[in-house]
Amino acid sequence: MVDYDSPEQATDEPTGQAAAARPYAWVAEFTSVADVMRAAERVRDANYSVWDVHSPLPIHGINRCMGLRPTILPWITLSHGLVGAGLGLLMVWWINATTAPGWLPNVQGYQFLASGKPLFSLPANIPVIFEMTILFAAIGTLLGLLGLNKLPMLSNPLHQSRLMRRATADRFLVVIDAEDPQFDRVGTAEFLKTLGPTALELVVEDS
Amino acid sequence: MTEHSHARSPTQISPVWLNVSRRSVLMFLIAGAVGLISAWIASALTDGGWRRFQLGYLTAFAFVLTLSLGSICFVLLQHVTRAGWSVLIRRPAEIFALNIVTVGVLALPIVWWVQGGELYPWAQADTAGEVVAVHGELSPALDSTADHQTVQHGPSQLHLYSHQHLDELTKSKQGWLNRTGFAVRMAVYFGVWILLAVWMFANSRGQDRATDGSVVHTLRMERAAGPGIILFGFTLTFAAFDWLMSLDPHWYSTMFGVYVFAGCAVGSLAVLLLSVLLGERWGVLPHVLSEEHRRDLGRWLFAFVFFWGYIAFSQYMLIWYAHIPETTRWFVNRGASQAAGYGNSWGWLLIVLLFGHFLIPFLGIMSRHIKAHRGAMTFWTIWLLVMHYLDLYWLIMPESGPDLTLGPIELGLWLAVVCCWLLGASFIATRISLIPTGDPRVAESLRVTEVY
Repeated sequence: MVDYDSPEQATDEPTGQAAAARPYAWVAEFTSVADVMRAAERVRDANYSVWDVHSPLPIHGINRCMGLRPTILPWITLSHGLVGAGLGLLMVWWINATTAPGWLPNVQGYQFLASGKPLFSLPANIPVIFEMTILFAAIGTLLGLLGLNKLPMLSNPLHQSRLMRRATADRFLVVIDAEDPQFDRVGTAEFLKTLGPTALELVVEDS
Repeated sequence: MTEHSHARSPTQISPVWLNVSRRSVLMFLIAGAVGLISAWIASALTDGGWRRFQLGYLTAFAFVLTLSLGSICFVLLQHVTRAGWSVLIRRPAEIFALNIVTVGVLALPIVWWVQGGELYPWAQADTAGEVVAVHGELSPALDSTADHQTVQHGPSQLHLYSHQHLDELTKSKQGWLNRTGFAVRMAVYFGVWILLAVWMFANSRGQDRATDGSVVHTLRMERAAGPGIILFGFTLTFAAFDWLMSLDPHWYSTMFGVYVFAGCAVGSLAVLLLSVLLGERWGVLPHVLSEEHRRDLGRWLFAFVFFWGYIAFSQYMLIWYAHIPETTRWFVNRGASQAAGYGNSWGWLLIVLLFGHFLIPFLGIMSRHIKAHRGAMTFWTIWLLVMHYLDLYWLIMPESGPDLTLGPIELGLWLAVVCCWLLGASFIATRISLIPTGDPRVAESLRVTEVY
């Protein structure tokens, strides 16, 4: 069992067959927002790059402590919105105003005349363009969000972590991934111990 | 928390007092007087100058009115939503809101003109029951278009200004649009607004003075804010109908109140953000504000720039699509028509608004980096205030005739009225701390930082 009062003894490494498995990450547990923010600043300053903080609640300012760069998601949203606007414009023009003489009849526009307006008049088309912009931007944001987070992911070795269970309730975790160039099974553990965690756990790859 | 946050711990928040020097007061007075006098002289030297003077005054009045009204709405919203983030920047909004008192004083000339039968077509004296022909001549008081009739090509534009006569249609609306009703309603509107602003201001100051940490003032503001916002919505809508829409008593748009509100929101958020930026630059406000306070205000501004565009376009599109001459004429007078003989130079202002009030600032303040950039946002807030003035100008001034005018009359009056408004605001601002130190959510506001 993990002894939460004594971090030295709380280090939890897999035993038996699992001990030979490839390490996935070191997980360090903290009990308060202030502690995990201090720890995150130290990890950032130690130049780790593939790591994360898990918290049951949003922590304002954690991005600074972690040295995170702003997300590129807004650019994905903007570009999808622009594409949506362009397609919307093309669509209403096609549906309302195309004549396409000699083409197949089923690609011909409706040429629907309303209250004597020109067939292709921008004011009437703005609402359609607007809605298409919103639709594309929203779908682009959702897909971009999933893509940037590598979701959906069917399995994650962290699901096997015992410490992770309380990260959804009352504990805060710093997770240093084995993919980090600085990761070292022994050295990273020693480094994490200096941050004063209440528990450490080595998570191994799924077998 | 980070070291940066520790430096901004709540215990270190002390009241901040503004000191307005005699010299700046004198400067405001002189600038205001220069504006008023030059407008007066220019109007005496111009054909139809008096009409332009009155309309220009109404434009300048509507400008400061919307700034104060938007601020009232901002303050009410913060209490309705129990907002914590905005506590540190709420005080300037409360000051601008209370400044509605100054705007109330500035409204007096308008009441005076209406009682004398000027400014609004429905206020004219009924000329011995005579039915004025729709295509007849304009009454001399409102006739600034006569000069242009000779040079026009295509269809006569005279009927475009038929609403400036006191005809049967206008008379039928005099049950609501009459001199007494106008004055009484104006008193009611200002009564409601002043009551709301004073209530918020007094209780906010009460918070600061309460030493026992009692939240009684906070709860009072919170309870008043809900009903207050309903009252605000109704008074704003009817005031917009009375003061701006009834310039053309033949015309009506149910969306007009929302349109004016959208302008209120853009103008007041721009002036609030600008005052925060300038306050920081001049060292008046302490550096307790994080980047995120300014960025949040920028987000509001961005949202309402789009809201304005959305509402403006919706109003236009519905009228354009319905194609009812009674309602399209208002847009024709404002330069929206491309039909031969119906276009006029107000159309240029319409283009300026489409790009300057909507598309350009929409793209300009879209980026989160711009929203937090002091210099860029100083530029955009000033830009949007100019556009807000031009928006009101486009609503009001085309009543003077088919030619776009912008000269010393309008600009001088704008200067005079804005100087009065700023004097009122600085008078109020010197009597209260610029940070609401007694607000129970001040610590929450101090902790605001960016999340991405």
